Amino acid sequence: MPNLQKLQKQFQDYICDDKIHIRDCIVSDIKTPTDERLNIYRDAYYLRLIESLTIDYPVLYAKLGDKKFSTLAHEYIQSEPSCFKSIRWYGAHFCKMFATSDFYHELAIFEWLLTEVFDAENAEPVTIESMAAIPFDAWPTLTFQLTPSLRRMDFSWNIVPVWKAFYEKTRSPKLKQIFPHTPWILWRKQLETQFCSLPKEENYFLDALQRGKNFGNICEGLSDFVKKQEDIPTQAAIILKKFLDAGLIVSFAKKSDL
Amino acid sequence: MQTSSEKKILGFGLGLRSQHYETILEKKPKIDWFEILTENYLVPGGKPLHYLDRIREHYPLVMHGVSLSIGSTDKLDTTYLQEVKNLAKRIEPAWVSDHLCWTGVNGKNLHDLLPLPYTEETINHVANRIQQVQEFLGQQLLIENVSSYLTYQHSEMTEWEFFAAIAKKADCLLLLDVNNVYVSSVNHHFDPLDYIHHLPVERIYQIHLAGHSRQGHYIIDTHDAPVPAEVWDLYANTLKHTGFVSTMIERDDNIPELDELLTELGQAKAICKKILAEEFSLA
Ligand SMILES: [Fe+2]
Repeated sequence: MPNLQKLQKQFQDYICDDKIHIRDCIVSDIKTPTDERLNIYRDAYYLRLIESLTIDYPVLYAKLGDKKFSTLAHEYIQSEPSCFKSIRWYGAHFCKMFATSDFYHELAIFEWLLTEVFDAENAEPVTIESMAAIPFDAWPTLTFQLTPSLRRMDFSWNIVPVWKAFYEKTRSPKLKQIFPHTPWILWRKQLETQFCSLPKEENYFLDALQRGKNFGNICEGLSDFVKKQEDIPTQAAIILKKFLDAGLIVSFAKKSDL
Repeated sequence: MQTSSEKKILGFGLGLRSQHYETILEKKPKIDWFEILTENYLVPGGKPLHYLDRIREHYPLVMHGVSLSIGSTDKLDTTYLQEVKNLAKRIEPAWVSDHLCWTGVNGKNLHDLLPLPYTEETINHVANRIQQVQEFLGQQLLIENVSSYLTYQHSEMTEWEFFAAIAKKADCLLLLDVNNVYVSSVNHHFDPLDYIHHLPVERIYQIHLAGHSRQGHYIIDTHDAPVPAEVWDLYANTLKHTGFVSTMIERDDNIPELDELLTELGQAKAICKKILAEEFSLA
């Protein structure tokens, strides 16, 4: 008889890779053959992981239908056994089952990002009042930290309307491609998940914040998007206020703080 | 390590499920304690931990894990153990439990409670690991019996002898899943009371009650239905042997309204009251 380590390896190989060495180690009788007993475990293994994928990807599941989704999930499980302590993380790479240009690929990424935002790290947003106390000459040196729940993705398909129609139980719009690609952000404000698309100047602004640029530099770059030079400070203030209201900014630092 | 000679008694509890978070906080139902699924709260932030903290303000909790893989021949996962320890520090559970099983080897997790061979080799291996975990967490662990659907050729003893031997050797506590005993007794043709009567009463700190389903020759531990009559019967007979043990209903699928589970818990209380009055002259 194999030792415990070998026995476990053989058991696992039966479940994951259809290797049958473990059979010899299992008690059987006519009524209940070995494979029937082992298959209870194998079937439960696939069912459990497939179920966890359907929970992470409800819209993808609805769009593909049970048969197609289950086939893909089965392939995913075979190519990517779980190494996670919690099944919550198992579906992280499910989007790889689709070509990157595909509608389903984007839908999978979007649904996964929603799960990431849901239980991402908490952070208290900065209030507009706390920013009001900053002396005028310190503003150009300000840098900002964004909420750890922030996720960004560009859509080349109309994913969000299709996703929304599913939850609102309305007629799903036809799948269509979008030109040019639209940048979106997802984040959590307190406990609630939020998402919205960004106009290009806001996308630039967020990008710059994320890369740690200071407020002065960010304003300079805004000139690519704002026609009149004198409108830049107002435009910057509008965007910053929008981000603050949204709870996207969780801390800031003046140069003297750094 | 903190060990106690006096058994902690929590009363009658339920498994905490996200479907019931709001109702619990709104109505503060009369439930003595909740059991949480440890892994569900090993996340950075958001709703799960928010609700957990708020519910903890009103109820005692116990932590119940599914991924310790105490029987695996892989090394113990210290990152995981540290996370469990951090969560325990956060919510101060009455105790921490996991299952007498393995969940994978070579770094894989099959997310299932897989059966162990009942051998001296396994007893030594598992007891040693339980001791390491207890040392690390600074408290005794409760270990739960799992349902099983097969027997290994080289098992040298019964499951109950195996379970009791590990408890003694590791000096750990027991979480007795009465439904799992019943399920295995049907699948492996033994008398469930032989199992129960063999266990060290003083170590049994918690009882799980749950439903199961039939699949061909087997019954499967599905936790998706109310506790059936045969499990209630076995619960009553268990209490005759153990005296009062903190009891909870474990429902993981087809989760009904909280009120329905409270009614079921009421049934557990009624059985317990009757048995204690009859057998121990206590009410
Ligand atoms: Fe259980």
